[in-house]
Amino acid sequence: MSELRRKHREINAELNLTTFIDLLSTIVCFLLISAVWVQVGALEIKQSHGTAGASSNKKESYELELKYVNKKSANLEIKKNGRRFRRYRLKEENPEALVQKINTTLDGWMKSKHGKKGKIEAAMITPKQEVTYGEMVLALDTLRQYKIINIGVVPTKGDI
Amino acid sequence: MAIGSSSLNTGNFEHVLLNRNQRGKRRGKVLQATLMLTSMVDMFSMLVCFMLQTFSSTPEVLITNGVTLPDSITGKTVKEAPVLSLNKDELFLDQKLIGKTKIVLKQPEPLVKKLIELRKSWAKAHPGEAFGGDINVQADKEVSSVVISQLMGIVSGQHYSAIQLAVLGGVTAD
Repeated sequence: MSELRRKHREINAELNLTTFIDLLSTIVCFLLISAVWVQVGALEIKQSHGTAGASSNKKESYELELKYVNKKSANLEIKKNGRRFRRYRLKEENPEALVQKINTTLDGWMKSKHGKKGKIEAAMITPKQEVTYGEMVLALDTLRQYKIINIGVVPTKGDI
Repeated sequence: MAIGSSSLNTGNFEHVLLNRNQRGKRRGKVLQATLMLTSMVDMFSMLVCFMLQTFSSTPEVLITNGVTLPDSITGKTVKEAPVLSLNKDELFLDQKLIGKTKIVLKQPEPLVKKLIELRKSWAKAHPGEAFGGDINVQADKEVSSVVISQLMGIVSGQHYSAIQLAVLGGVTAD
């Protein structure tokens, strides 16, 4: 009987909630203060990449050049050892469609014989006055999706 | 005007006090109601779990007023470095105004001077280490890309060659 009572007491043991609530409130306060509400990321641009071509990779290396003509058109050149290897003239209805076109062109290149054999080691973007920074970031995003890490921007003259 | 005896009569005041006391007793009864701790602890635990999951240890980046950052899906974690911010017509370095963008791009001496100072102070703080050349650029998405490219030219001329363009979203691990 006494054993049963002891067991009964153990089952009814109460948890001291005061300290528990104190701890939870402290954690909630700390997390609320240290919370990051706006997630800011970064796109890395390497303005000097002279050694990019001299990578230890056994694959053939290519360089890409994206030259904006205006908001809706651009020239995409793929170079090998500094010489033009392929050239694509891209023209679309709006800037978003142009970025989409860059994406499909690069996709096509990657799936081609040369694209499978080689690797685009570096890319340069030549901006234009009418192209906004937001549109350039969209193009940068597209290039980075194809694992092109060494991306530079050519300083261009224009009316500011 | 003389004060009448009725004004000094405390009878009314005593009555008010008694009434208050009785009301207080009535309220006392209400205060004895128990607080439902189970639901409160449940709520706290869920809140803690949610906040721990969304917790981020990356450095907080202050976005300068008037700057709308572009969106990206390939953004990476921000490194701690000087912040060069650019809204539609003004240029700031570490939240301090450098000047109008048009003027700074034509005469970049004030910006160059500040960049050299920052590099020197970095070298003092990190003796024996090679300068990484990191700089964060926060620019409004409506600014012309030519302005950004010229700014990059100035910045990279001062050995800041690893330029981090601040974007919204898409933060992935390195």
